[in-house]
Amino acid sequence: MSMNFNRRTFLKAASGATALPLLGHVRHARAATSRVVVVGGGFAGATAAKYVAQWGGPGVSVSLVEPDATHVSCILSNLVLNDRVKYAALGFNHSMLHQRYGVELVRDRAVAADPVAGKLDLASGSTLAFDRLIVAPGIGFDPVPGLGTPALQAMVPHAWIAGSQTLTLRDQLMKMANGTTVILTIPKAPYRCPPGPYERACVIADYLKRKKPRSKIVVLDANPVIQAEPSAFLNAFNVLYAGRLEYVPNAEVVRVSFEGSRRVAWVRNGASEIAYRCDVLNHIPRNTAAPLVHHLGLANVGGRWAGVDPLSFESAVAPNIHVIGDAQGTGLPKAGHIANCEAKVCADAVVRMLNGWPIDEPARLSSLVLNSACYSPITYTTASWLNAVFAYDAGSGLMKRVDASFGEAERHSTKNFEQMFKWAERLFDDTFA
Amino acid sequence: MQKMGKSVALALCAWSALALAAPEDDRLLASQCLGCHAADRTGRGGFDRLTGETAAEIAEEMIEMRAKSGAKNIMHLQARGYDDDQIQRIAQWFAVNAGSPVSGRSGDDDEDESEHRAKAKSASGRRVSPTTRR
Repeated sequence: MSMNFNRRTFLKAASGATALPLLGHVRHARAATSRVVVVGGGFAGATAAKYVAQWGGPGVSVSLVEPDATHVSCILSNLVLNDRVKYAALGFNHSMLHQRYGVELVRDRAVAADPVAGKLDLASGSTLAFDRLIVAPGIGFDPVPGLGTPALQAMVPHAWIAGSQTLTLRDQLMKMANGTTVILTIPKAPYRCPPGPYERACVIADYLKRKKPRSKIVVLDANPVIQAEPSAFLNAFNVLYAGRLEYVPNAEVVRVSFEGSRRVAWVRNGASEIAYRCDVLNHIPRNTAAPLVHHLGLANVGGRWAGVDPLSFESAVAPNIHVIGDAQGTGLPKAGHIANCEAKVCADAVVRMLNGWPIDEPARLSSLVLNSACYSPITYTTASWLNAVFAYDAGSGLMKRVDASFGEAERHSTKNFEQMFKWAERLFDDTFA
Repeated sequence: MQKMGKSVALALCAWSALALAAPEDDRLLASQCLGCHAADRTGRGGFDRLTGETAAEIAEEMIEMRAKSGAKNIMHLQARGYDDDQIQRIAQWFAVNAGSPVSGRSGDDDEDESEHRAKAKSASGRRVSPTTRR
C-alpha cells in the first residue's frame, strides 16, 4: 500500500509538476517511514495535509480523510445569499493536494481512533494506521428545542456550515414577500467567525433595502455587545440600515416553534420567554466542536472544545492526536484564516516530533506568530476589515493577541470590497493548492 | 572609528540572532505570510508578490509599513505584530527561497496579477470574483 502510494506520487511528481512547491521538498520514491493522517478537508485540515507533506519530505506519508469531494468555503459564503458570489465558485476539491504534494485522498468518514495503537477506524470498515493524527472537523451545534427532525431543521437553516443550507437560506430570502420579516440569531461566543453573523445581518439588510424595501430584519444576539468590528457594524446598523434592521442584544433563543408558515423564536426573559415572529428564520444554534471531537473524548474545555498545547496543537488528553481549526479550544478566534495559520504551526510540530526534535527551543517559540485578517461586506459594493496578530506568550504559555496589531477599518469602502477577493483567492490558493 | 565599531557590532548582533534560528524556524515564521502573499510564479491572488526582492528590500518595506502613520491599513497592523529580528528572518527567507518575479518588476501587484492570470492556469481551479451588479 505504502509502496504503491509512493510510486504513484513519484510518477506524478516526475511527469506533471509545473511548480516546485515553495518552502518544500521534491518527493522521491522511497518507502515512507512515518504516517500522518488528517481528518477534515477545510481550511485547517487541507492546509495541514499540504504542509506536512511539503515539510515532512519523502519520509512522511500523508492521508486526508474527508467524505465530501468538495469543500464549500464559509469565507465569502454570505455573498451567496445576495447573489454577489456564485455558490459554485466557493467549492474546492483536494486534487491539487494529491497531484502536487502526494497527499493520499481517502473519501471516508472517521468514526473512532486509538491514539496508542495508532489506528483510525473509518465508516467503511477499513482502518488507517498513523503515527500522528490531525483532527480538523470544524464545528457542531447544540440541539435546538423545536427543531428535532431533519425536515424542521431544513426549514430553519443555520447556514453556518457552508453547503446546501446556504442555498436553502438564499432561496428563502429570494422567495419571501416584500413587507415580511427575517430574523437572524447570533449564538453565545465563542462561535465560528466572530464578525460573520454581523456581516450576514448587513448583507441581508442590504438585500432587503434593494429588493424588498418594506421588509425588515431583526438580529437577536445572545451576547451583550457586538463581538467584532463594533465601529463598522454599529454604524451600519444605526445609519445605513436605520429603520430596517433592529438589533437586540442579550437575546438568547431557547426554542423555536411554528405558527402556520410563520416561525417563532423564543427568547429567554428571566423566568419567562418573549416571542419574536418572522417569515424567514436564520437561527444559528450555539456552536461546539464537531461531533467527532466529542466522540473521541477530546472536548475537555468546558465540555465544548478540544484543549491543546499551543506549541503543537496536540490534544491535552490524548497523545499523538492534534486538533486544529474551529474545534480547538486555545481561545484563538475560530475562523478560516487563522485555521490556516494553526495548521502550519501544527504541521511544523508534527514533522519535528516525528524526527524526535524539540518543539520548545527559543527560536521556534519566536516563530509562533499567527495572522488573522478578514474582510466583511457591509453593502453590495463595500466592505470593512478586521486584523489581529497572535503570538506565543512564554509568560502565560498561551497564544496571545498582539494588541498593537489589532484594529478594524476606519470605514467601509469599495477598495476594501475589491481587496476582499484578492485576500480570499490567496487564502484559497494557499490552502487548497 | 567608533561609528564603524558600532555598526560592526550591530551587524554581528544581527548575524547571531539570525544564526540562532534553524531553517525550520524561519520557514514556519515565513509560511504565515503566504496566506496573503504569493511567493512563487503560480500562486494566485493576494497582495504584493514576494518574489525578486533582496532581504534588505523586503525588510525595509515591512519596517516602513510598521512605522506608517495616518490611515489604517491591514499591512500596517500586521507589521506591528513582528519585531525587528522576526522581520529580518522573514526577509532573509523570502530573498533566498521565493521564486523569481513573474514580470520584470515587483511591487505593483495589480499588473503582476493580470499578466499572471493571463498566462497561468488556475491552481485552485477558478478565480473568485463578484458577480456583476444587478
